[in-house]
Amino acid sequence: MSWQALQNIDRRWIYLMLGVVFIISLILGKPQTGVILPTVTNLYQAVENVPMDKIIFINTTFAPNTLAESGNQARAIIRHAALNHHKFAIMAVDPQGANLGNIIAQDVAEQYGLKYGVDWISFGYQLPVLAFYKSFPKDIPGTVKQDGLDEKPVTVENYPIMENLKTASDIGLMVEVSASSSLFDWIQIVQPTTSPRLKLGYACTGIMASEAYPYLDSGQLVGMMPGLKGAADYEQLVDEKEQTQLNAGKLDHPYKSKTIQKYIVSPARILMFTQSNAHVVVILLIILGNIGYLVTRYRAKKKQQETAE
Amino acid sequence: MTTPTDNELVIKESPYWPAILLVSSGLLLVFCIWINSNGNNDQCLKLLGVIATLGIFSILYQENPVFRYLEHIFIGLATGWSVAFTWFQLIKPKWYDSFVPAYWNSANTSDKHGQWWLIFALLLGLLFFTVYFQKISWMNRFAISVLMGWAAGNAFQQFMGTLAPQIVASFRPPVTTYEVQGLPNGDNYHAWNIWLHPWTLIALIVLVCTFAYFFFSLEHKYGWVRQPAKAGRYLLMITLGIIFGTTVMSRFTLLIGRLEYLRMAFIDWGQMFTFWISHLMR
Repeated sequence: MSWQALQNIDRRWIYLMLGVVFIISLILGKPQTGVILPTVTNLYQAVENVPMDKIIFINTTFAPNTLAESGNQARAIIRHAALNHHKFAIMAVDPQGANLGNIIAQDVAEQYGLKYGVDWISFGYQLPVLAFYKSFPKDIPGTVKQDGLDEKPVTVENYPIMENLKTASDIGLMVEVSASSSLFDWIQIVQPTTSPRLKLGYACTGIMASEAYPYLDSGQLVGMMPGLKGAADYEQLVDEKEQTQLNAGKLDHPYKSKTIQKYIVSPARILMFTQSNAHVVVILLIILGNIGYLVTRYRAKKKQQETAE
Repeated sequence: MTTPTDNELVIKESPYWPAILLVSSGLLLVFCIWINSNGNNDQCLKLLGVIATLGIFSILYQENPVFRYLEHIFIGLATGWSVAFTWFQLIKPKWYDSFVPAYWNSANTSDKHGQWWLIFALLLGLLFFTVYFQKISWMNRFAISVLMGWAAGNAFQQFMGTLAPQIVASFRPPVTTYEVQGLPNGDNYHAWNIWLHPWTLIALIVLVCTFAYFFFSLEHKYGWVRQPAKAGRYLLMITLGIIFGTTVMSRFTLLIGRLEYLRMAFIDWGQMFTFWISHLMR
């Protein structure tokens, strides 16, 4: 057997192998129950600690390409707010994210029987310019002006939910579900101007998680949902809470137990199961490649010694 | 399947490909106009999504014209969309509608019209283009100086807002005689009226070692600089490994998202097909 071949496997075989594992795992669709990350628990607790008279702000700044991560994160956090009867607002500084946020929020609102304008509101797309970030904390209705759910916007002050949402001090927690660097605008511009400091949670893609950890230690972020793993962990916590409420008969009618899914077809936990299987394949391939390398090196050394003798 | 060489990857393309792709673009345009004017277009959009996804995935096998065609469509769409988006979401509502008098534009919904002084914003913007005319090119410095001044002021505020809390957090004492609020979970052990913060100590060591690696004012020949710098190098490698790991994880998620989209589309069509077959069999 040529051990050298293990280091030169055609990439197309690797793609095929991964593709097969992905598809089989998706078809099996087993929800993963894993060890929950402490940063996710912190974010969950931060939502739990939001006073009932405060609003949870959820920024859905992502595009369809990160729906598997960001979409599931947004849905988990909206579900949590809905289960807690917290009022929430959806907003985005990405036009596609505004649309996707609306779709997800509408799905969850329909599932949990929430009323638009009373239990939740959409501020749609907002231009991420400095003027917006400067005026937003001082005057939310004056900055946002119109809602962003339909093509015909309505003045936000006409909605009952706005009675308790005037300035940033009315926001109990702001969760930035983002696939871009939009979080830093809130940290750099908005957070230093608010007193008490605006509480920020972060739901980012996996690739962005490592650069956000320093903000957790400094207290600029109260918690974080990193990538699909974070979404799956948060979903697990929300699922457990939902199950507890269902068992205790606390969930109000009209509650639909079957999750309505139009665009995000699989929950994060099923997708995480798929990803975990792919990780196993990648780890096996790394081990195989390293075995090939070590054996080849050992044989070359041995041959060299024999030649020298 | 053997490992492809560079020569094998260059496939022989038919001379008719440009014509085929041009006709495809025309058909695609007509198709898109049709689905845009048609109310119930979910299945058409799904079909386009599936074709585009499979076409882009074809690069995994080898370079081919279909992939390149779809890649250019994607870039073209993104560029066209951003031009339209900038006009309709930024320039028109924020500048044009407020600038022009109400009678210029019947669809003008801005509550303030005819703000003539907004012409200065246009003039300032136009100054950037004077760089193309040698005699007046010096004028673009006005625009650049305004932009630089704005950026400098903004950067200073952003620097303080971002890094000031982190500098404070980086130098927390690892041992205290009092409880410290706001530390991460598990970063606080209490014994004999002394509070120990092990993670704070680790963070401090990592910080000093990493700084030592980037400290070039002193030659790294002394042990007290060389050893922490060496440790800093390994710590940096670990950090970069973590970043690479999360990158791979994130890329996998993107792939899973697309595969799930394909799977659901095929399940949907399979159900539709079964429904129609059973309908015809009755």
